[in-house]
Amino acid sequence: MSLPVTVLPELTTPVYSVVIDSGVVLKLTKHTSDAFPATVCGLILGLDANSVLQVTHAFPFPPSEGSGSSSSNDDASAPRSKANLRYQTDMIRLLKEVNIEANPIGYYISSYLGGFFNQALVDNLVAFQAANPNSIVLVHDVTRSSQSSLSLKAYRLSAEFLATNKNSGGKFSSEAVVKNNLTYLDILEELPVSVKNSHLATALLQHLDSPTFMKKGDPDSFVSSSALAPNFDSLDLAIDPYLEKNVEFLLESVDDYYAEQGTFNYFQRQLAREQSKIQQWIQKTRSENALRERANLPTVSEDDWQKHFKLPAEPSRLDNILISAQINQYCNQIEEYSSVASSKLFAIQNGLDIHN
Amino acid sequence: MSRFFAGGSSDSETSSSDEELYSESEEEKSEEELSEEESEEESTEEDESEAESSDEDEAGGFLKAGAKGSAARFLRGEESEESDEDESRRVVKSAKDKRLEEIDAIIRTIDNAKKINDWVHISNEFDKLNKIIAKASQQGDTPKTYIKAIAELEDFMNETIKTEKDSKKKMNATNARALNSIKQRIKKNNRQYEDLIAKFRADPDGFVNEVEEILEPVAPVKLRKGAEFEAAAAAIRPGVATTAEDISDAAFSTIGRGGRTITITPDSIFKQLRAVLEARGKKNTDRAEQIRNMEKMLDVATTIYQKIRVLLVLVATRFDLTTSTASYMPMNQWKSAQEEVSKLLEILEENPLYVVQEDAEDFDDDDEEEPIPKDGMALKIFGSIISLVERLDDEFTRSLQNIDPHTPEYIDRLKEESVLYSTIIRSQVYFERAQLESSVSRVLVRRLELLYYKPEQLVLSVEKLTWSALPKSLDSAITPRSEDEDASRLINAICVKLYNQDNRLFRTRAMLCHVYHHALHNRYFHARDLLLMSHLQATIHTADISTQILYNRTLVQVGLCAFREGMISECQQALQEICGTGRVKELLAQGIQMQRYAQTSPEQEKIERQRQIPFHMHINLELLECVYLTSSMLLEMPFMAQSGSSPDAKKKAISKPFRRMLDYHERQVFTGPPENTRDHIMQASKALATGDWAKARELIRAIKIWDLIPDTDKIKDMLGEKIQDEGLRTYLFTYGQFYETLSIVSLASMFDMSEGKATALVSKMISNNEIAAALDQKTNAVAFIPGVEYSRLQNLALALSDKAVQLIDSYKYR
Repeated sequence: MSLPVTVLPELTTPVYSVVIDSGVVLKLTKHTSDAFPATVCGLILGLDANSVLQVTHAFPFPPSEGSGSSSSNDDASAPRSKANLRYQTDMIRLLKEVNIEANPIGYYISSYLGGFFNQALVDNLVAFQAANPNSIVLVHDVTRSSQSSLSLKAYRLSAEFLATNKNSGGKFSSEAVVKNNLTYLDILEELPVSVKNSHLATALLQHLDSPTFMKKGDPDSFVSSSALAPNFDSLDLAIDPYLEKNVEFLLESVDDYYAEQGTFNYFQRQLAREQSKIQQWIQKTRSENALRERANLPTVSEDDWQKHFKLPAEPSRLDNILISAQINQYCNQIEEYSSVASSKLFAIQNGLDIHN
Repeated sequence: MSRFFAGGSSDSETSSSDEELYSESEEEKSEEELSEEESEEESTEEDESEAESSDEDEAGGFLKAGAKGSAARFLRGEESEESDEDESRRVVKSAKDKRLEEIDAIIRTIDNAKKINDWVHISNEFDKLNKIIAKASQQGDTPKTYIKAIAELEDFMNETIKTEKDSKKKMNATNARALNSIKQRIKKNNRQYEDLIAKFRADPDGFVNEVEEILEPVAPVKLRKGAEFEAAAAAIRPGVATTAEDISDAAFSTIGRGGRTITITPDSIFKQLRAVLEARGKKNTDRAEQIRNMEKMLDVATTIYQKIRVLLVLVATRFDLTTSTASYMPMNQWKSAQEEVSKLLEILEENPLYVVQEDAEDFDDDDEEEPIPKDGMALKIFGSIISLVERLDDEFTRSLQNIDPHTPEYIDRLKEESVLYSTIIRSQVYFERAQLESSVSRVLVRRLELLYYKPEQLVLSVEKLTWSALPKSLDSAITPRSEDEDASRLINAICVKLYNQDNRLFRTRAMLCHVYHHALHNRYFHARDLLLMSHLQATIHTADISTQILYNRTLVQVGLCAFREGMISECQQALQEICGTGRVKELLAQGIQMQRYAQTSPEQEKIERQRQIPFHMHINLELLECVYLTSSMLLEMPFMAQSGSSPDAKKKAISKPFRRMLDYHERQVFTGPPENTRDHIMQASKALATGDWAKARELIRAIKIWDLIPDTDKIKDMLGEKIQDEGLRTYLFTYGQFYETLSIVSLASMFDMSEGKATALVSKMISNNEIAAALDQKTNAVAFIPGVEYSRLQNLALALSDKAVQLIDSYKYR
């Protein structure tokens, strides 16, 4: 599970926000929604300029061979799989030929209810950020997008995380975690995302929105024809399914957390046992040394315990942190959703009261 | 061996033939002893003399020589040793001759092999030789030719090794290896015969010739033998050079081995008894010989005191015959021991002034005068009848453990239980009269343990048989003999007596047996109350293992009792602990369960074997499983239907093994017609889950094992009813949500029960909050109230809050 330790190039111009071309957004959402519920991913291209990361192009990775049976984890690690790397270089070469900016600046993944905190994500981001410190991952949450507005987030690994990874050699010992002040809250840092339309697209939207475009007199056609007109989707009251799924996942994560806690406790007990053994050994050696000194024999160094005992290896704390982050993510989602949902419910309650 | 002690060996002809027969059996015995040495020995009955002899044990193989060397007290010097030899030679003449011939043959082959330097051959022959010698030395001597052979072999070996070193040519590999291995063995072996070899080395010719000379006197001795027996009282054959008078304290007083007859007089009895006691537990004591001598002593004994003393030692010695834990006491020995105990009791009954008890002081038998009870004061004799009775019982159990229960032998053996039982009762009567309280409770426990698992009729018939066999004058205060005996009253009397004594273990065991007896006779509430009042469940894990086994047996029996009484959930609870583990066999000590991953050492296994319950006391495991699964089914099916799809439905199983089996059954692609009990129950469960109670009932009724329960039809009817009830409940749980109302009439007809009963069941479910419904009296229907059940989200939220609390707890209390 150890991550490749990489020397990060000096950040020349750190980026603070992401601007995504609307075309990219459409392409990305189409790809992820089509593939739903499988998780898919693709490469994003663009460039960083003036502390702004501009995402100008994206292309999906082909579904991994023998897919269907492959688990989501395989797909998530796809950006660095051999076949995809080849595909990627080919694509970039072809894009360059048609004069499109072909500078990979990260990748995108689809996610299901925000369950994207896993080892693969971290591995991928470490690799990408090693190549380009400004690399990001765009997470498109298909389920959340279908519930409300578009859920597209840009993340990158925090400096703390990278430092911990570097210091502990990818082992994430407790010591390294504490030293770098790494908590589950700051594995990733989110960058504000804004979507930018080309002028032509803006013009088209303006045009579509203008009443002149609508047919007069027919209210039905008004609703159906105007894609941009406000609809009532956001007033949907089917609250349960979304929350159910969320809570279910949350339960799963808590179970995982328990398991993780269990392994760590086991390690601690093991360690304590070993240490008491070592202590005994040192005591024994000390008394033996005293005897040996009297007999003018060479003494045994007390530090020799390393030869005799082997301390159990500490399990990586990364899993723990990731699971915590995942739980946090679910909790935030529930909170977010229920704040909206309860306001909806109150509104309806009031509406009913007035009605009565 | 009983046929031997009848003869008063005055006839030389019969006695010698007896002895020949005997020598054979002795041979077998010596083999047994050999195997004993290898096996680990239990030293419960062995006293300090065992420890004394243990260093000899360590010396390994050839104990005879070792014993002679170390036990200086018994060393008779050259002369007596020789005479000893010739006597034993005379006894086992034919067998011994054969053996000598064999030895000679082997020595010859070794010589031949030596000539061609074939060490592989030598090594093999040497092993063979040692095996025979081991047998021979058990008989009492080591042939001189053997000593000669091994001494020469050692010389030859040393020579070979020396030449080997010098010569450049190597021996071939196998030969060299054989040489090396034999070198070690010869060294080890010859150390045991060091003295003899030294003697041989000193005078090779003389040593061998000595053997010839010794063989000479055999014939005259043999001739003399017939007259011997009739010889005058104290005189013992001059050839032996020791007489009873000569035996002063330090002198030699063991009873001769082999055919040496010792004429027994009433006067010398005590001395010889003491000799027996001294020899007890030592490795080379010939116990069979001692027994025969004591049998003779018993015939000779005149006074009551003598008889009692001899009997006490004799029975104890009989028990010493089998020291190994693996085998059991030979039947005839057991039988004689039993008879002798009875005889002892008879003597004591007739002579109330003699009391055998454990805290009496031992009399010094060297006193000329024999103690007699004075002025109506009872004479206390040191000894323990209760331990003899207990040992008798133990040996009986052990023999049952070892005999294959499917043979007529087992039944024959089991028939002897009545004899044992009468001995126990007799000793109980005696202890009561002699007011030996601790012995009374000990014997009562034994008695109870022979009775508790028996059904009433059997107890009664055993009782009747036993009392009728005993003399009319005997009666017990605790368990008086009466005509219209009630088994429960008897058990009760015994148990009450045991409850009132001090020993906690006996109280516990009495309690368990009492509960078992109640449970066996379908008095569930009695049994349960008694078991719960005892608070045994809290402390049972600290008890010894056999009590734990008894506890398990009792628990299982209580469960079965509850089942017979139709109390399904009580039954399931009682059986859960035992049957839920999958180690039923082990917990009930009814056979050893092979565990796949557990490693049991042979010692552990042996100990486990000793704990096994004899076959006739077994609780039928298949029936047990059937009862457990059936009651699990009746509880689990409605419960599963009720919990439906809640997130932790899987975790809150009533019976995990049942769930596992059901899962396994469901995973099967094809399910054929049910073959075994388990199949029946699983298919019935599935039928019940879908509301097809009739099919479930048929399947359950078709199980054959029910025939083992008395009143099979009653049980089946009870089960049928339960299946109807639980079927209705399951149906309501599963399909209730799809109904708005459900008429009681149709419900009742669906489950073929009266409307009243259906109403009662539904009402009960409503009042227990199991279903959200109401009874509509007007239309006589169940009206389901929609939306009362938790939604899935609510269930999940509840589960989550549970988890969160757990998580917080785990942090708090760390």
